[in-house]
Amino acid sequence: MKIQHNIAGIENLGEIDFQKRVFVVPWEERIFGIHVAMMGLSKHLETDSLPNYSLSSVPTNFDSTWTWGHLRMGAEGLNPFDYFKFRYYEKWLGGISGFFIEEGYITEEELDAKTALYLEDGNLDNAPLPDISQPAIDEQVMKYLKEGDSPERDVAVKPKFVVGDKIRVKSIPPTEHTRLPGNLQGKIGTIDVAYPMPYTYFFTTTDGLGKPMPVYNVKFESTELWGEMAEPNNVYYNDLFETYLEAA
Amino acid sequence: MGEQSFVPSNIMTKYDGFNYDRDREIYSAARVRALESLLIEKGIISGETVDKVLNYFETEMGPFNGAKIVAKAWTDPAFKAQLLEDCNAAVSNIGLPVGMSGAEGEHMKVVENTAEVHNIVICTLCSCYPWPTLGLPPYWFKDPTFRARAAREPRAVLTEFGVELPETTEIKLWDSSAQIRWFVLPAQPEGTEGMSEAELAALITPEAMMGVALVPSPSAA
Repeated sequence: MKIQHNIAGIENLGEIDFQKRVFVVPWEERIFGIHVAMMGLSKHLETDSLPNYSLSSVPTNFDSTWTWGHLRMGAEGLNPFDYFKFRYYEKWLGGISGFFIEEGYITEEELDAKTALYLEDGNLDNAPLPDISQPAIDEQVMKYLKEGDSPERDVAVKPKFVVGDKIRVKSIPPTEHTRLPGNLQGKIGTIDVAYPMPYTYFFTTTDGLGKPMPVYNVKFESTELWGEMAEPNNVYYNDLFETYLEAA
Repeated sequence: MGEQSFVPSNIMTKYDGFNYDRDREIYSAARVRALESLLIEKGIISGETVDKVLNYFETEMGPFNGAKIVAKAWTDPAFKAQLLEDCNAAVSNIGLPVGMSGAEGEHMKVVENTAEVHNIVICTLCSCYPWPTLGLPPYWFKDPTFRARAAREPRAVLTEFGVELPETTEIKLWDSSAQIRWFVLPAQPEGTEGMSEAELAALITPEAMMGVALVPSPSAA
C-alpha cells in the first residue's frame, strides 16, 4: 500500500494549518473549473448515468471518460515521496494536463509554448483567454452540477453481509487507484449499515471496483485500528465496497 | 522554501511545506492559463465555462445552503427528523436552489451532535465533501496533516481547533471512501431560542457542519 493510500495515523506531524479558505491562490480556481467541466462532459454520461444526459448533442470535442477516479489516479500514481511535494491543486494541474496530452488533445510542446507566452512580462494578467462562446457546452456542465451522476444502480446483486456481521478488511496489492484506506487492511469491523442498492464505479480498477456492488458502512473500534495509540471514547465508520471485505 | 513567499504569511501559518515561492506560483498560474486557453481553442470547453462553474459555486452551491438547512432543523422538529432519516428528500423542497442532489450530493447523510455524541467528517483518501449543501472543501480538510491526525487523534485535533468536549462525549468519525457524502447537524447553542432561521443561519460555519467547530452562542461573541 502506497503512502498516499495510507495517510491515516502518520505520527509526529505537528500542528494543523486551520486554513479555512477553499483556494489560497487565484490560479487554483481555474484548474478546479476545468475539472468540473470534464466531469460534466465525460463520455460515460451518455451511456452509463441515471440523469438523462445527451452528450452527443453537446458541441464539445471532449470525447473521453473522466471521473473522480481518473483525477485521483494522477495523484495516486505519483511516487509516494513526490505526493507530498505538491499542494492539492498542483496535483490536479499535473494530472489533468497529463491526461489531455496522453489522450492526444494537446501536445506537451504546445502547452510549454503557451505557458512560456503567458510567462513573458505582463502577459499573465493582461493577455485574454480566447473569446469563444459555446453556450450549449456550458449548459451541459451546469446540468451536470444540478443533476449529478449517481453511482447507485437498481440491479439485483445479493449482498454477502448483513448488519451486525463481523468482517475483516482484505489486504490488497499496491494499485494505481483504490478506495480502501491502507490502515484498515487486516482490521476487523462490524457492518453497521448495508446500503439498499449497489454502487457502480464507472470503470474497472485493478483492485476490484467497477460493476455495481454492495457498499456497507462499517464500524471499527479505535483500539482495533490503533491499539495503545488510540484515544479513548471514539469510534470510526467508513463506507466500504464489498470487494474489500471478507467474513471474519 | 524560497525567500519570497507568494502566499501571505497570515494565510498559511502552520506547516509551511505547501507554501511556495512566487516563481512556482507564477509558473502554475501561467500553466493553467495555457491549458485553459488550449482547451478553448480546441473546442473542448467554451471561453466562459470555467467562469460559469466558479460563479455557480459562489451563488448556488455553497455553505450558505447548509447553514439554512441546519437553522431549519433547529426550529422545525419534523424537518429535523426527516433530515436525519433521508437528507436528500428533506432538502429537496425547502426553497434552496435547484440541484441539492446534484454533483457530489447525490447521496448525502447527516449525523447529529448531542451532549452524548460528537461527530466529525473526514476523508483520509482525498477530499470527499457534500458540494450542493456545503460548497467546496476548505484547505484544512484537504490537508494531509489533518487527514492523518484526525483519524487517530480526533480529540487532540479538536482541542487544537479550540473545541473542548467532556471526556464522556463519544466521538464518531465518519470517513468517506465511497459516494456517500456526510455532514454534521451541530448542536444549537444556548440563548438562541426564539431567533429567526436567518439569524440562526448566520451563526453556522462550514467547520461546524464538518464537526471541527461548535456553533458559538451569540452572547459569548
